Amino acid sequence: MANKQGIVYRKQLPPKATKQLGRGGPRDMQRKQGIGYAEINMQKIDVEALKEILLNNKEAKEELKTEIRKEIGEMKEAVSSNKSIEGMGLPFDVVEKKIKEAVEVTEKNVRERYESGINSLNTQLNTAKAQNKELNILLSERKQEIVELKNIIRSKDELIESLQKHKDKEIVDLKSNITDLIDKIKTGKITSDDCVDVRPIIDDKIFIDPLSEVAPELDSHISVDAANDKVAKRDLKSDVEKLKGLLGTKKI
Amino acid sequence: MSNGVGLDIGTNMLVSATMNADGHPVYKKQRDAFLRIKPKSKVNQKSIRMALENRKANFIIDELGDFIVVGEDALIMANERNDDARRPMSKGVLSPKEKDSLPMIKLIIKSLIGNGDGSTNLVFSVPAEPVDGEFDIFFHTEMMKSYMKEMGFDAIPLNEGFAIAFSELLDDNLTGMCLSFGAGMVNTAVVYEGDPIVQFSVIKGGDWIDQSVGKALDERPSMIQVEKEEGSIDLMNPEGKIQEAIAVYYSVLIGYALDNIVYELERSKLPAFRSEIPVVVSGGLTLAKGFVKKFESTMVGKKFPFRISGVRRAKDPMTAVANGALLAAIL
Repeated sequence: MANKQGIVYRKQLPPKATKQLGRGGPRDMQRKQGIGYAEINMQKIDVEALKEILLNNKEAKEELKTEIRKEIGEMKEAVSSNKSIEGMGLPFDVVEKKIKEAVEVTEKNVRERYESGINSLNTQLNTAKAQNKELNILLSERKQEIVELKNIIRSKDELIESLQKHKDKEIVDLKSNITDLIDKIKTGKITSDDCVDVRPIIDDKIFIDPLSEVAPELDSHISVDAANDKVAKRDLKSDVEKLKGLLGTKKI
Repeated sequence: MSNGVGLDIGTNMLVSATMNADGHPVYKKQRDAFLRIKPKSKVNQKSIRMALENRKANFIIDELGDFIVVGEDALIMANERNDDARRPMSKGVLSPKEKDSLPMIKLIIKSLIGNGDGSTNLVFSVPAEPVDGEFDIFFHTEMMKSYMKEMGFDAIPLNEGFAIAFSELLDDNLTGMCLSFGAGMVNTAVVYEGDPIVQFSVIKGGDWIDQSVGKALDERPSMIQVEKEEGSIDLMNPEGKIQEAIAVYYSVLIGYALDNIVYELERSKLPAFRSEIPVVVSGGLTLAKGFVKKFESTMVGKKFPFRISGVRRAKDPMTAVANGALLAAIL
């Protein structure tokens, strides 16, 4: 056989029809091992895809690892079976195709199952977050209510304290009044004749101006002069000052 | 110092008091009486008017053309005509029954105090509750307030006896007993350091003396009134039957007032008076000569719950109430 550059390859190969292939050479061995590589590489792709999603989900990660181990086992078994299938005469590309399909189906199922799980977990997480948010709002409201109730309690306490003080003062005053009354009764300043009638009385004092409706027209010819003051003239300004001094703040 | 008006509304006399620029009081008086003269014809109407104008009488012409003479002239003309003058007030107060008289007293008051600026202080006297009768002080007070408000005054009532204390007890620490002997009643106030602790009235006064003497001597009360007021009567030395009768009834009235005072003071819760207190008498009846002596002699034997330093008459018995009311208005 000569190549295109004209270099002659001198080795004489036996004719194809007489050629007995042992299928035990390095390429055969490589080919056989190549199936395993392909399948393992596919599993690596799965792990990479899910790695991101499952990074924070330990439980799911463990489950995935178990699943992967299980799948690898199955694959190995399938490869082992394929050998026999291949050994039985199935072409490699068919076997490869079937393996790829099996891997794809398996990958799809696993992905769907975990995506569904993750979705469910996300939903649960969102629900939990929403519940948490509501609970936080409720907590905030309750805290506010507690503050308000504390304020009310404080004001009630103050009121009670003030009432207590007032009551104490009233008691002191009443005691003082009772003592005074007892003294007055003892000295005869108060007798049974001093009882006051406290029955309710009707307030019948209503003023109706009799001239409000009848206003007679009168022609007045009245003129009054100042009276001649025969007595000593009073100094009103001085009298008012005296009166102010005597009355102080008293009302007339 | 703010201005104000004091007004003594008595049964027989209305007295107003204001303060002039020098700080002295100016009083105006008008008798609380009126007489209606009904003209018989238009000619008669003209002649009556001319006669009234000639004698400078105060009068009112009503819607019917009748003349209503008011004040002192009403009393004089009533006597000339052998008639009695009418009084808008009876026993110290206006009466709702005297509806016809109300416009007259309104005009008389207006002639004394004029018009206020809407917020001028005016203090007017009112009697105390009577202990021997009933009358409507509420109607009287409200009617007067209504009049004063219409005339532009912010009117406040003040007890008559307390007003005398303002006028006459300024040098006695506003402590003493004040009595106002008026035409319609006797008002009493016991004042202790500026507090009126007892105030009451008895509904007998000068009018009661006039009626009683008139009845005893079969004379018209208005004639007795003129004799009592203008006859220069000396109660300790009366002359003639009328004066003697007047002096007797004076004694009876003073005794009656003092008995009621002692009785009311006994019932009252009085403070412990530390020292003697003065008694001030005021009002038209006290103008009679010998009134204070008569009062002192009648007081003998009456037991008062305090010692009395002396009895004295108000500086001017006719203006003491108005003066006290003026001081209260200026205050």
